Amino acid sequence: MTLPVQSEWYKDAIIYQLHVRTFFDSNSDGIGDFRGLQQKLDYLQELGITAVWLLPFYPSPLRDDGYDIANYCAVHKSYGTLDDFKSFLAAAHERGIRVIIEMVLNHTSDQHPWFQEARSSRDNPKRNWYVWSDTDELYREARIIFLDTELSNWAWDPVSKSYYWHRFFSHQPDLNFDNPEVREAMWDVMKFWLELGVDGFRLDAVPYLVERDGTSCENLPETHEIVREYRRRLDESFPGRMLLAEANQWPADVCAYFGQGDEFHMAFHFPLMPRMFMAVKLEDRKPIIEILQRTPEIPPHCQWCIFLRNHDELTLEMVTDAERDYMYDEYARDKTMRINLGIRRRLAPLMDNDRRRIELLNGMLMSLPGTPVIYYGDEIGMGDNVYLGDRNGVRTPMQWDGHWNAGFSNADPELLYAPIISNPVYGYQAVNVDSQTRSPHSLLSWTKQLLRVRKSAPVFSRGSIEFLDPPNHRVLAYVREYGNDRVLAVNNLSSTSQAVELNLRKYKGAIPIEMSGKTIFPRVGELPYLLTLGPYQFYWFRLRRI
Amino acid sequence: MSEESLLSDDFIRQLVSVGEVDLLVGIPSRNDSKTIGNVVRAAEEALLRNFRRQRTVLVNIDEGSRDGTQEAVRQASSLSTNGYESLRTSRWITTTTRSAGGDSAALRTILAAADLLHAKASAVVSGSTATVTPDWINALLRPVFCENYDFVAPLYARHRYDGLLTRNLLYPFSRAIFGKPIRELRATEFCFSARLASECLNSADWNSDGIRSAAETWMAITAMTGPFACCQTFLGPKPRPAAVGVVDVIRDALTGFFWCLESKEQYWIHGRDAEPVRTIGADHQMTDEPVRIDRKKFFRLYRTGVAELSEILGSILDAETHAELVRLAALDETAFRFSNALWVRTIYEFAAAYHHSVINRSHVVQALIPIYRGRVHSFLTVHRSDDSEAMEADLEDLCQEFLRQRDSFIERWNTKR
Repeated sequence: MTLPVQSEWYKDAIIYQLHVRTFFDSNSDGIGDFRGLQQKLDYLQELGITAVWLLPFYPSPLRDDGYDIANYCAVHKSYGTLDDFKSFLAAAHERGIRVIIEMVLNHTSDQHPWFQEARSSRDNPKRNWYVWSDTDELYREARIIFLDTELSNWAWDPVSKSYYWHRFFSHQPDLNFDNPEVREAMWDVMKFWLELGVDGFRLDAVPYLVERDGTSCENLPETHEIVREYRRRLDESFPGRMLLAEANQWPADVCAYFGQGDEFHMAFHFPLMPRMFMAVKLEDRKPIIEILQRTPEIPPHCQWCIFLRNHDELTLEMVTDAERDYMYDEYARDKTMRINLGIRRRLAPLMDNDRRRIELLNGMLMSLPGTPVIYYGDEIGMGDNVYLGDRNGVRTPMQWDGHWNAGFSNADPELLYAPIISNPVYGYQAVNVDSQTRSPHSLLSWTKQLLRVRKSAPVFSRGSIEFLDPPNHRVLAYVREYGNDRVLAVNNLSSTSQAVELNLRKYKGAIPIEMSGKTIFPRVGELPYLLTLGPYQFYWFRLRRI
Repeated sequence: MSEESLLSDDFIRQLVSVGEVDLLVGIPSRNDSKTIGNVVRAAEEALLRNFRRQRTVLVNIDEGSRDGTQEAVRQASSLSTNGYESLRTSRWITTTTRSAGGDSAALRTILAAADLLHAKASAVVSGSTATVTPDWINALLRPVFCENYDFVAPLYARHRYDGLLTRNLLYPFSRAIFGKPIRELRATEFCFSARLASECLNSADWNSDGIRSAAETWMAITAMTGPFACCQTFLGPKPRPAAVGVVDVIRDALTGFFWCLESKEQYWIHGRDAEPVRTIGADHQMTDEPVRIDRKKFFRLYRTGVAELSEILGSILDAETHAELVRLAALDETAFRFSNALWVRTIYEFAAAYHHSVINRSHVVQALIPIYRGRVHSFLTVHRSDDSEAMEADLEDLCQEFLRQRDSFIERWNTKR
């Protein structure tokens, strides 16, 4: 079953990001699977999300959590079968939940048959599907992304006695997108999944598709040309499907991936994320306002995708050195928490488990322009385990209840793909879906209510934004506007109560109605509108003219 | 009836908007349009360069300028700060003092701002001090913010003939009485902690007229006499003061100091042991560019004063002291020397007379001015060719003299003649 073609559904979406492996194990082998995920769709529907974004579930040696794909058109046996996927997809669609899957275009696993063929001899027909060189001198201006593990973007292949290009791990050789056969092969892969009914792709590592000497090998015009070609084919054959770009770049560079509305439908706004954390720690709206003011307009049919946390580290690539130092000192004083140029922690531990700050950040996530992404487990305040290596600490099993293996699996605990979080603060006995479902005041219940309110007003997903400039810099206030609908969002970024005077003269006569409790506030007049906010409190007001 | 507030509604509104801060720099100003731009830029740069992560605010308290000082502040604060970027919003507060507070209103307003904003360290820098640099601000703030001092007094590089009232009276007198060797008692630059700000702001002394001309001195002495950690930090060259209004300055300084002696009497009246005060950087530096000073005029004013104020001096001083001053006045200028011992005895007697109000207190202070001029004449003559080390040695002698006569002063203070 495919959902009806609905234009721009992605703008109104609330996306839930998860890894099949982490969610629910239906066959007691210690690893989550599609059958398990399907069983938990009711939970996701009740939570209020409208789309699921699945991390890579393809056959893979799993040396990079599945981003090292060895077969693009199958399901990793640990997660089930292709039929299991189809069944899950149909069940999701029955509930009105769209499914976005990960597509890694840039590289394969070195175990992929394509690469095995390519390295087998210099004359192999697949040889030119990857980027080879007799020296490691080419493309020297390209930065190394995984600084903690890689010394070069070239790796020596002892089989064919030459170097191959890789922007990520050395076991992930880059595909050669200058080769039309590669471009066609990857379209065939996409078509395969689109014909099954997936609603969109999150395209991984987009900026690095093409290499040119003397450049940074990022964001090259040829890369955009490839994206445009895929988009054209997508629109022609699969209208209503969506492409989401992963391009960890400055907004001006990412904007190029929207093209004239003819490349990606959505792209992640990477620089906003660390600045939301920074603003809360600094108790100052400046970082958020600055980055959003530096964000160019995007074509009308496009949308930013915004998030607080995801499966990767809290990336600090898109901040200044001074800002990075500050973030490290404030959020990752223990160096174990740091990886690459970022911080491998979940939302709740980053917020010191302070419910008010978790709510504030979620409030901003749901009211700033863009389609929000919730990382699995953050809706209940799951913790992390920084000692698991790489970024596995934020990829631990979902905590469903306080019983055996947190309700995630019936397997012996030793069999689990990763240990369950079990410390007294974030452990499954304290933090789990079951207990939070029973409590109307839990973070989970609060999140459901937040999502309900968000969905009640299209202004959040489609509206313009105008920042107010109250003298109190600890307060971030903005008006979202869509048609005749206006919502005023006021966020106290501070740990202390704040008073703020808002210049709402433009909305004189409007009656602010607080959207959570539907409480009426005094009518807006000529004078500055005085509000008081408790620590980390936020309000959403619908500005109604009656 | 509502009580009149020191703080205007607009000022409070600005404080509300700024909220809690870590560091505050207060800049009092009065017709400082020529110099305040540099002060503002120095303060901003200091905060951005040295305290980038801290929550900071600059507070300009203007005392009714009519020369465009506030406009100069606005212009300066909008200029670039040598490429230093703040992580946070840069915050500014500007206000004008209300007349009710008099000369102390600016400091009191800064104290109120510091207290209400919970500033951990607050530096005060005069808008008229043209030589302020970012390093000054850093040097003032750092001991309080980073090392938990409560009060930081400045040390300046001064011209050998500047700061003579401080050198001859305020410093040695306060050191002998309060036990702490803080040189610049009447400073225009200093720094204080939240604890000290709260103590000072809540003091009943603000109800006294005495504080009007001596708020800075009073604050320094409050720090010296309370449970507060004090230090001194070397800043740099202090500009030479304008020659106009010198009499007023001296009168205010003396009045304020004598009033402080009274208000802090409980601290010193039983004698205090000397306590060292940490000095950061050089403890003294002297510049020596040639200046024209009319020494003869000082002697002439002394001689005239002693003659014309004979009756008043007679009621203030012991007969022996008075006679000695009269004897000196009769000498030829070249033979005139005002010894340390006589000077200290004279000053102590004036202070006691002020305390006992033997005559109108303002007359006591006024009568001291020509005597002080005689001392200055003698100082200039004695040290005409001395280097800074010799001058320092003499200063130390003077301090010891103040200490030597302290007990008799305390006795005099306690016994009304």
